[in-house]
Amino acid sequence: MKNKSTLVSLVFATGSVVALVMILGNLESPSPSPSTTYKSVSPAGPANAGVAPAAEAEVVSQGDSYEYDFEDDEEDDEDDKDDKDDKDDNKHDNKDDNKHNGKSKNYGNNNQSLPSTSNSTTTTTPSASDSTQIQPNPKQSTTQAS
Amino acid sequence: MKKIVGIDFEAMNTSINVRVITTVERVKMLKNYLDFLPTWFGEVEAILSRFDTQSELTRINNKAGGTYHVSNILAEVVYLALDASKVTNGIFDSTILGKLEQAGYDRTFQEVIARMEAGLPVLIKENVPKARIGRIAQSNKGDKAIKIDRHTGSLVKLNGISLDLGGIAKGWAVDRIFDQLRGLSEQAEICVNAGGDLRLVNPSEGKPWSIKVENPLEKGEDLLSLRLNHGAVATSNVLKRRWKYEEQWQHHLIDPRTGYPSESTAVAATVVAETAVEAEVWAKTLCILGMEKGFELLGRQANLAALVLSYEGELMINEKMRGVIDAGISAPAFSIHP
Repeated sequence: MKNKSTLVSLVFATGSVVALVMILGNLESPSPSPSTTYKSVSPAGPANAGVAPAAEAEVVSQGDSYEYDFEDDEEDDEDDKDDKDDKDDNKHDNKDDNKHNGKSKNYGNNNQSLPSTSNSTTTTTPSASDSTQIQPNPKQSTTQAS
Repeated sequence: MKKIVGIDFEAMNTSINVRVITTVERVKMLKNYLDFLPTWFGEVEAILSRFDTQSELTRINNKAGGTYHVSNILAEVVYLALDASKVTNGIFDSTILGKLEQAGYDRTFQEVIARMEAGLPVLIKENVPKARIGRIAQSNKGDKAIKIDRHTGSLVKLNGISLDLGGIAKGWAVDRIFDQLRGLSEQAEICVNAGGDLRLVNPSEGKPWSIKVENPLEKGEDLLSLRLNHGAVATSNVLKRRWKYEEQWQHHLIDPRTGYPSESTAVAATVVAETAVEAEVWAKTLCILGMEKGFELLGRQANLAALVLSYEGELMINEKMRGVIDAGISAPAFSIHP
């Protein structure tokens, strides 16, 4: 049992190192996606004439979209015992989500391809972000007065 | 394999955060859409921001009474604001801009705070009379002061009426983006969050979204968590945007019955509704009215889940909110409004 625990810990530690290396790799060689104007579906409908809006709109901070792999923890954890250990750890991590402890297990099995969303929000997207908006759990968000 | 696509940026003086869990095939299309959002928010601000001297709203606010033709976006948001005023018995009132400026919120909040910290006088605008001591009644109710035909864009306003659409514009933007994303990917899990006003969906009804409600009385702490598969959440409180004026703290939630920042028992309110606009409207209304009167008015709205927190830390919720609170995470003691 002890040997198995040690093995599991070793696997997690190795995974964390791999994830860290990938994150640092991303930091060193960012590949910003060009901002594309999507013309076929726009949030805005055509505005009437009348009192015309200002020609140039000021955008305080321009962000670019990001993507990463997602696997639902609950689906993954049904098959084998090692994954069950994973799920238990995730429960623990979830309690600490809002403390931004840097643990990446919430992301399931693909954490090596994730941008960091824990200690440094700047690696999540190229844009400046409000840290309260970026949670380690991708299905978590925060409501507060603004 | 699913993918998460998202975007984070600053607009409307707050943080915008959009996250979509979708299939690989839809990633490119969704990213294209998301990349357009900062530009779109800029365009919306150019219409709806009261802080932009060239915005369409500011130009309408500065005009004398009369009939004006306005853009689709302004017409739609004004319509929503007037409708909100009706369902809240006038407590949600977008025509209180003059009172808000008199209380000292006559520029962006960052500028208000910077001015306060520099010790400069609050009121600089020459045309804004000094706020009177005591309580006065709002002379104009929103539904009489302004009318809108959202189909034709015809806006009629009385002389001296000016609008603040800040909160409801944010909710409207969240709903608009959410609907567009649903159209692009009906089976995707979506969460659109604009400074705490958010709307989400989990079509599979599987693992729900977890929404943390910030505790305004304990900085950095959460009050509780909500678990939702669909709907909208908004929070309003009187501590986030407050400033000192003549040695007294002021905040941005004007009670239209007095024309001054509300002095209710509520320090914060959170509402779960179908749309972000509805959640935003009722969160603000509950804050202004306080626990008892707020829940009394809310009682007619069977579809809304709500919680109100008092200055003393007392938490009151309605029955519907009890079914939304995440029981797996510790929450403070609460009472349920009958």
